[in-house]
Amino acid sequence: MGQKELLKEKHINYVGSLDSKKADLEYWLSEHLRLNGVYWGLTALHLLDSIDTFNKEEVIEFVLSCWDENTGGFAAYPRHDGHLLTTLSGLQILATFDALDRLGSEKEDRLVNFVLCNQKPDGSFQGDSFGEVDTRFVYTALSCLSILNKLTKEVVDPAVEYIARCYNFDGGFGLNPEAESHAAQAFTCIGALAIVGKLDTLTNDQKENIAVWLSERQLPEGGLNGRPSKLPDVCYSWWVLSTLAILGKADWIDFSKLTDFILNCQDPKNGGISDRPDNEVDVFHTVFGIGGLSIMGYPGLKEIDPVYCMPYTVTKKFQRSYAD
Amino acid sequence: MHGIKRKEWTKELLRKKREEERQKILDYQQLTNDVLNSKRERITDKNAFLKTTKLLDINPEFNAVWNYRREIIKTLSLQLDENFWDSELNFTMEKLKVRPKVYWIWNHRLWCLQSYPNSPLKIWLKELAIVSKLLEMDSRNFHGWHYRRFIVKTVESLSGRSLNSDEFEYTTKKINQNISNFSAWFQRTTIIESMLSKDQISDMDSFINNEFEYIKNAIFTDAEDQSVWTYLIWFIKESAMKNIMEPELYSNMVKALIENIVLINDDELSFSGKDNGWCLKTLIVLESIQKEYLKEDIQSKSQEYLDKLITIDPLRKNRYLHQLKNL
Amino acid sequence: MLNSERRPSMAERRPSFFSPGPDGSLQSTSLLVPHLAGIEDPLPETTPEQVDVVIAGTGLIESILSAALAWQGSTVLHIDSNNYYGDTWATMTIDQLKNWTTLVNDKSSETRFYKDAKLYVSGLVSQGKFKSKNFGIDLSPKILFAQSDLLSVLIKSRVHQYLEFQSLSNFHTFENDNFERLTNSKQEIFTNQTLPLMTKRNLMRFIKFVFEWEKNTEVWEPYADQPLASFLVDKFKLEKPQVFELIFSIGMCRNLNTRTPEGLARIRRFLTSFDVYGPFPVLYSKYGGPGELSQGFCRSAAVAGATYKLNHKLVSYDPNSQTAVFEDGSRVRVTEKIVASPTQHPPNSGNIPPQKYEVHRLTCVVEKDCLQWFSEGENAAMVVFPPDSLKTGNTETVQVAILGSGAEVCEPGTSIWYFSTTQEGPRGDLDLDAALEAMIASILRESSEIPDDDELVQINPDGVSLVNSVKLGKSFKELVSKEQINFIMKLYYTQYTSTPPFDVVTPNLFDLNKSDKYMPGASDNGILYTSLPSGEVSYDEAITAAKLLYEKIVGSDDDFFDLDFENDEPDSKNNNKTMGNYDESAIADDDDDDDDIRMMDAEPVEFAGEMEI
Repeated sequence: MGQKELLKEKHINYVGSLDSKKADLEYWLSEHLRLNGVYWGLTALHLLDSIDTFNKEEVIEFVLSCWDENTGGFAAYPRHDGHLLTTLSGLQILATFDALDRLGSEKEDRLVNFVLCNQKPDGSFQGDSFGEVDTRFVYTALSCLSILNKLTKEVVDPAVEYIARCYNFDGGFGLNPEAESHAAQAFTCIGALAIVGKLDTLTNDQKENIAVWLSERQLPEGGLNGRPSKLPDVCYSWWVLSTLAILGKADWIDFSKLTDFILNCQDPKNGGISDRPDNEVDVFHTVFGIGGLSIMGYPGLKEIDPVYCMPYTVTKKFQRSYAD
Repeated sequence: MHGIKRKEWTKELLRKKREEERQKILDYQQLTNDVLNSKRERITDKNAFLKTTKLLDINPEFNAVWNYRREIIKTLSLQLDENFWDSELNFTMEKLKVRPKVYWIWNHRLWCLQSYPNSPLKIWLKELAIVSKLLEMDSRNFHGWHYRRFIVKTVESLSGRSLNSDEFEYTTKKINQNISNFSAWFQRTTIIESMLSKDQISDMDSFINNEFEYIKNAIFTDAEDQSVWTYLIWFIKESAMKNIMEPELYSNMVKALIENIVLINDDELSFSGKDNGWCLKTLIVLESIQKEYLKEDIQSKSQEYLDKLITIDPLRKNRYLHQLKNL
Repeated sequence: MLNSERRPSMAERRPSFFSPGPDGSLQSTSLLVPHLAGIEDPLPETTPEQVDVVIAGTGLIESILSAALAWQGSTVLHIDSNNYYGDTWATMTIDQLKNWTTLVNDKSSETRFYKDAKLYVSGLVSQGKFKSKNFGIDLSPKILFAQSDLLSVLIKSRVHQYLEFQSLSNFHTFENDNFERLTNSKQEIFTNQTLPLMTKRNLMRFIKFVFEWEKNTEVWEPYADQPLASFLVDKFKLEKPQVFELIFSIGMCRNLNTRTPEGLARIRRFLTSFDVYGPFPVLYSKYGGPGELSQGFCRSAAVAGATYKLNHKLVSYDPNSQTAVFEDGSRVRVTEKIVASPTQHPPNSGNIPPQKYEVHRLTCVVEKDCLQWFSEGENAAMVVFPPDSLKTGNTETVQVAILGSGAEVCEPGTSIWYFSTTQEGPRGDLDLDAALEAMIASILRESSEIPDDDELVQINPDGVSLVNSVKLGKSFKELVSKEQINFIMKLYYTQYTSTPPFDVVTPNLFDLNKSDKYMPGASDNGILYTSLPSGEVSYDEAITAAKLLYEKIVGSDDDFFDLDFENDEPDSKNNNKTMGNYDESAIADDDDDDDDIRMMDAEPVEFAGEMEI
């Protein structure tokens, strides 16, 4: 229906050129996001079937150079500090290149230990030793362990209980118990449950309630927002749509209108996707825009796994539940 | 990037920008290198501390530098008095004013409050005032609301006094300012649940009645606002109040709501020729309460409502079809 | 030349150079502001021999035009025959008003722009209790909507940096001998305890509709030729108090005949202005209204290179040699265009546009601070007397702007009341008097008889119990005050303009003096005349008029204030813009930068001030 098309080549060029922006101050000021940025870019390329745009060996070397000896996790950039968020990005990149073995067993053990150490008695996770706790880290921790095939009952069961406490009456999930519902938290919570095969801990009424809340995120212009009375933003096409897809209810929103919205956020000149039409693009919105399109079956894209935000070809090897 | 308009960079503009930024990049790289090296060498002196200040001034999102800063402060902590902690709090506030949505800064601020000598009640009370001010600037900032909950809990545990009634009034104030502030409505649900569980409501009948009137007022003021409808459904279906009310009173309240919502919807129909989607969605929920919870024998119109919703709200057509099937 | 009785000029009050930025560092305000010739500095020794444009008159429209042209690159000579800035938009002291009144009543002038100026000044001024120069009285008082083209230009041109603005949130409608405060925001509708639920709903529905009324043609088009009142009653089922409030206080329409589309546009103007800078719709400038703004634009023009001369009178213009001659014998060649305010016309002119429309004004300074009428922390309020609310049975509204001493336009303990109406003829003054009477009655009963605001019932000396009022309150017809109100100054005048009442300037207004229509023997052939202030209480006409004139001179208004000061901005600000709110975490980032949906997109809030913690 939409007049516009996905500008694949432009997006490939855009992502490919990200590392050549060293003459821009913004490049240096975003060093603390570098490893995440590599994962976003790589996944975008992968969905566009152009993973070779990145030099595999260079990227793997970069990931390994982000290893933080002090914590036993990956940092955003060499000499930064290890954190669950960047650790997951590192693993996702290695998994995409089918290079998890490059980690080596010693580092792998330390990494698993890093993840486990950050679990709190109530089942929640902190992002690092500085103690910030929220459902983002439950997702990242369980995703890391799943990628490394290290999910156990001891870790999973309390984490699932914690997620249940973050469920709100309106059908959304908050950052913590008693926190307002937010679409990204619906993804982290439902995604985490899906990773560990525990979606059935939710009642059917709850699942329906969650899907109702998520479907209300679509606005008349087609885009999705993250909370009531907020503007639409391309990244929610990922958070909301992936969660609905996990629940088997992706069609509770209008695909054609959302597709139009995402395509309207493309920079027709230099490639890349922005949060809203005519805004500055970035790699974050680029991957989530393309990811959303993939869920909706946009032609010519690799099929994305809504649980992991990586192509199924990569995630089929991941552990989905622990052995009892 | 969020909310930043795309700019056409002509070659000339780009050249100019790069020209201007070249020195800045060199300075930034040098400073970063400097800080990260002394971090690696675990240098924790005042000079290192000042360098982190300089770097965070430029880039307050540099989490590793916040971490390093805390390491330095911890090793120096015996020499630090309240003045230091006050200035550290001021520093984070300066950063928050520029980037009110950066987790790392909120985190550092919280750490400062917890590390403040003896962590006295008065600084937490002051923090409560500050967070109110922040929520005036952006009444939906959920970092702010999240932070507020944490501060309130700390104040409650330090003072041994429940702040529920103050916080309840606070949500009223925020909702009155903006009826679409769902953050405030949401907060109201958690506070009411807490008040109920702690038996803090002395006159339950009038409390429930006031809340009912408040909701009625709100749906008449803005029948398009989903915050209000969501709260209504919480109040009538999800909250513990349902179990407190006499069944007859509860049943009457559901009926009264239905009557008012039908009135609003009819008014909408006569004005625009269209039904109000939120009215219909809510009526379906209320009918299901009558049928399934109250076991009342009613003439259900849910099917008709869902048929209408498919037409007036086609975005969610498949959801309504699903609900029709399950009626 | 320098009048010691004048008010301090903007340059004296606001020396502008460096001011501390949010981080404490010194920031350049980007515009170095030189003193203007004329008042602050002696006149320039020489007049330029040739300029692109000569502008005569420093009224607001001319001043905006001057700044726009100067920034666009034209050389501008901007003169005024008066020894003050502002012309018909000026802000004056009481002494200046005395001179002005004498001048205006001088019947020798060819075209009348004012008539029937009557000035009363209390002996208290000559006795020295009040000082003339402590009062700044506007000849054409105006209020500034927060969402308006003038405000955008003020920000874009950075002229706002020379000015100080204060908010005005109290609008009162006078009805049945009562003042009612507006219920204009969603918050007030929601929390108002007296409005019936259905009324709330109808009001809200209308308010939502009006934000995008143009799009929803199916709703209003059937009423396009009908008065707004019937639209509001028929379509939105609103009742008289709300209808009057919407039409007269929010829409500030002149009478009940206002057509639906015009009325809707005016109501939207108010509502979209609400909450742009805070919970108020309107701003006004401290130290004086349009006079102050005129000065600001003149300063901006001077920064861009315009030459200024006050006390400089145009005596003729020759369109063939393109030469303007001035009273002091100097002359200048004009390469592009000569523009003049009608009031600055040369002797023996023959092309002044007819000034068909009347505005009756009454301005008083009263010895009452009127604080009870202002919102907390504010220094101004608007009062509207809708049609038939006065004992004269008025058919046109009377609008009153009240300014208190906090606006730095009058001495403590006093306030200025500006009445105006577009009722023509002698009835205009009768309506103004009736409005004044109602205001006096109200201020007296509120400021003297009621000892305690909290007391709801009180007994007057006759033993009759009365219901008290809070603030601008209820009717107290029974209560006749013995107290008198002291007037420090009272000025009646009728002003003429070519701009239809409550309308905006239209292009054909400036089409009168085309080069092919020279009047034989006239001294002003080839001069482009500007328009005088209209009866409209807002500044809405100013940019429209200046833009139209600009287009006539430059050929297009594409680069009207097309200024880019971006490069002057401090670096830290730039960083925030590009890097602000970058998402700071990986896959599980919640991306919370979800902006609120607003009913309308607001201008960037540049002077909303730093957050104070």
